[in-house]
Amino acid sequence: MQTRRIFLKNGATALVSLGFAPSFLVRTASADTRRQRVLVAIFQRGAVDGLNMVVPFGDKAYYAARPTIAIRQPGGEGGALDLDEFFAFHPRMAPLHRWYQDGQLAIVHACGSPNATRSHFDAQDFMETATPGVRSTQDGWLNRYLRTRQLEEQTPLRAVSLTPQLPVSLKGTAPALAMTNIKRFDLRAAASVRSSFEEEYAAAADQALGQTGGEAFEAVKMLRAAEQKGYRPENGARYPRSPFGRALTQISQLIKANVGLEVGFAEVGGWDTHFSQGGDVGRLAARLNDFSNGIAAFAQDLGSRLQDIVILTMSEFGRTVNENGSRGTDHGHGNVMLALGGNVRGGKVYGKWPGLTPEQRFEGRDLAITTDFRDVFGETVVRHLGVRDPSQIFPGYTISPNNFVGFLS
Amino acid sequence: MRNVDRGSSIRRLERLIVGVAAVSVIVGSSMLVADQPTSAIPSDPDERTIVHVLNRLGFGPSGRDVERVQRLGLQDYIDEQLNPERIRESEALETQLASFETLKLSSQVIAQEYVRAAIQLRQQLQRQGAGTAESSPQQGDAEMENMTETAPEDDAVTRDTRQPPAATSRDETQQATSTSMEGSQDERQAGSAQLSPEQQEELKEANRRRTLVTQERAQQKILRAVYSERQLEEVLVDFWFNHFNVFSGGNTLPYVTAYERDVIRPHALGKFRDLLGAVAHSPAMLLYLDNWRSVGPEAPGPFRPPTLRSTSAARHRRGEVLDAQPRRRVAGPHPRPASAQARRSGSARAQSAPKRKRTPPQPKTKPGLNENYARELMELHTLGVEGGYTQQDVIEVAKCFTGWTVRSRAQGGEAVFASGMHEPGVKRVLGHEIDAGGERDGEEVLDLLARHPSTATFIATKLARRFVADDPPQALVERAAERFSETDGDLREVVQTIVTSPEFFETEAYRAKVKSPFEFVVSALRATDARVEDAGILVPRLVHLGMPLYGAQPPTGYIDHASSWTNSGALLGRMNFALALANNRLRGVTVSLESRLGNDPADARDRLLASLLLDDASSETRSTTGKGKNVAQVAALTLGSPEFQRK
Repeated sequence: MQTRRIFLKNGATALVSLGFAPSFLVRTASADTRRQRVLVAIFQRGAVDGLNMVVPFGDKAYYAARPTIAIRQPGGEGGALDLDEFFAFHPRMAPLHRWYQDGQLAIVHACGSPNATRSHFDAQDFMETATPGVRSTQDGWLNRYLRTRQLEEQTPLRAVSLTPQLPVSLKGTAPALAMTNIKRFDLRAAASVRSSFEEEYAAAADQALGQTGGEAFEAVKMLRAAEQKGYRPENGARYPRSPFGRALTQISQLIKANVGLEVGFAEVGGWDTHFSQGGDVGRLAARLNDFSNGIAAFAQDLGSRLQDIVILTMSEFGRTVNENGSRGTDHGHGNVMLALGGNVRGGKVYGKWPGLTPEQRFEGRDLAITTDFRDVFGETVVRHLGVRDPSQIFPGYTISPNNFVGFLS
Repeated sequence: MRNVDRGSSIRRLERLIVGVAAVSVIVGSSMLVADQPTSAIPSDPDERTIVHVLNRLGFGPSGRDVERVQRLGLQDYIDEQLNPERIRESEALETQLASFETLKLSSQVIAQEYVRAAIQLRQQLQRQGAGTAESSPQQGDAEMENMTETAPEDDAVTRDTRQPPAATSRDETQQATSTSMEGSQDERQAGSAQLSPEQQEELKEANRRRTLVTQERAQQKILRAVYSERQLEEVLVDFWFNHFNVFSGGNTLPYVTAYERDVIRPHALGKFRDLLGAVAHSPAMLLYLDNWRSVGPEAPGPFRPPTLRSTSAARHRRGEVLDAQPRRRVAGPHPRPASAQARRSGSARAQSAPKRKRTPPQPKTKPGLNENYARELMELHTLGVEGGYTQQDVIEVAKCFTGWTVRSRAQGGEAVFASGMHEPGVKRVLGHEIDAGGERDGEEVLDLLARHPSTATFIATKLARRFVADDPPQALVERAAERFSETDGDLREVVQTIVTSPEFFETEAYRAKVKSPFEFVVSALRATDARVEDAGILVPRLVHLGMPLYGAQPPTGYIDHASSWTNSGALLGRMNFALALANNRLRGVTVSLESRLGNDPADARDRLLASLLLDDASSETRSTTGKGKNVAQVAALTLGSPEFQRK
């Protein structure tokens, strides 16, 4: 709270002295020298079929369980893209294959929640609060992370979710914003009305509302300034023209505008493939392609800035090992997570593989879990974001480096 | 309010007489705190006090509310609000609500004719598309049975609320919610390429009907809050719904309309035990908190809820709606003992199901106890988290409620007791032995919890928080809890204790609370006397402001505390809403500011501030609102001001 007040005081002073000029301009001068570690979380809502995303082609049981939707072994046409002679990417994930080969993308397989729920709602909440089985948790793990880090100078754009609503991951007392479009995060009014509003809040006797109002106006100004420069992706990056592509473009824009972004959040849906899921082509293939194109373009666009960034993907649970009667898959258990970025020890599939024969499965039907997702989150928080004591972020769970799979250096 | 005018003149006379005495009473009110039903209602309230009451007992002043309350007298106004059955409802509101087709329907009809159609159609189309050869009719049925397990959830993967529309128009909302799970444009086209134009049309219609259920429900909530004369009742329906929150999505979706209408609303000013019982027996809660699937470790089986008989489905098709004859045994203080015979006949009914002899597939592993409802029942509904129960109590309570389930939930079936799922034997809850057997076990737990002192305190605290302050005065909470216990949980009495207390009228209580987004939107509509012809546009606006109606996912509901609502994005959203409303940019919502406030901005400012009792607004707010170049700007600057965010 202390730091928030300082920020606001600065904000208010700047407001008086500079009129409408955003106070962060002063700050950004020094921002380049202090490299901010950034986490970009990507939620695949609807439970992606991790077994067709990162295919365990070396496990015979995989092909036995999926007569029509299995992805063919690497090599032939429509075959998977080999990773380590046991696992392979879905062929439509080709854009990410290069990043794996270059050692910047790591995979954690058979990963997920110890809670057995197969409800999307519960599982998403459990993952986002990082408290599996506890429904009453009020805040998200990313917000708790923000709280552990009180920077000297923090901006209202520390955490931005490019979604219509703030995801549970970011809910909590630390300031976090949701917007679908930077352009639209604005006050739709004439300049005189804007400044009148601003004066009202700057002078508010009401502490809480005055502060929050100040943050809102500050964020608007920062975003307007970032917008003014316009945005062109660099390094020949080509984002897909999809909502997911647009979300990532804007996260990149915020990162490059040095507005103090620490956590970016995006989500991508369409994974609930109960029927006609397809194989190397089809519904899932199209989704995976959008997903991979988006992330690859984002990484490409960021260029050397990627050194300070980790992109982490997650989905609430996996899908059944067996395909169902509608050539799809139903709600399952274990799943796969990807990490791409500077500190990532890529080019490797992490985690112990539990096997896919019926007796190796969870409850006889689903991929079992050998890595708790909180250990992946924990490793990210400790090794990438540099949190010394993550206990506040993971209530009821002990984060120990012994449980880290080691995907980050 | 018109209907009480006759009585009010008499009451005014009475008050004249009492009034003189009352002045001296109020002066010494602190000494009278101990005297239970003492009312601290000022006999000659200033406008500020009236606005305070209108802000807390309702959704803020509209039009000439302040004058009306002045005419009626504050005491009478509060009495009237505490007895909503005496208030004649606004005819305009009733007419508007009458045009909604789903509000009065049973959950069965909603499930079968509005919600399920979309799911079934999709499955049907899938089967046509994906290998018809393989699926015999039996397989089809089995699949359907499986689908009822998962389909409703799947359907809402993206949760109407989770991926709400960025758009502000209702059409865009509907589009966003109906297509969000389908993924990209090409994919959708690829998926629907298999459908004939007729099938596509059919699917669209089915989706439209499903959306109608949630749209109408959300719209009625807004319209009632804006226009109902029974303001306190609306506040309490909102309060109790939130207290006993059920998230509308997946398998609860078809049930929530009836949940609010038949479970919450009738008991909002009733007895707590009745409300608690009605909730416990509601399919919405049984589904939401998983009790429907909870099975005792020693239960004899069958372990699945009975299903609706095909005959009853036929009856339903003929228009005989099943939940028109609720079998609910809402237990008052003296609940009817459940006869063993009734239980037997219950299971017999289940066994006499279709002669077709397709017994529902038994789960491979025996399902077990689900503690979810038991825990929330104590933590959130009654005792409070500090209410003095243990994990063992949770387990024992869960055992008591085994068998409280829902049949044929995908078809909107009703709550039933399935003895096959019930844990036999004696349970021990909070030191009490529960040995009633069958459904009575649960009833006894409800009796125990409803009358527990922790419950009195917990409910009193929440109500005092709602009506007085985020951190309510301890003395008030104690008095309200005492009233709760004395009256066997008479909620009208408890609310009365709070809203007539000296604490309620203390200066510190004025504008002590930040409005929730819903309260903000509704109070702005009331303050501007907006004509809401179509509330559709307001539904996504509330999503945007962080408060999707019926969309609170956790069982805690929305947290009634300023910190929940003060974040910069949402605040900006409020200012934008104020701008859109004042400038008539909300389709279906009209304000005629000039006819109310005149053409002169300075005049309008004074009138608006006065009518909203923002007279004590900061000098900046006073001067900046005055800078508005026209009446609309003045109104926007007022409604978007920090002062108006509070109540």
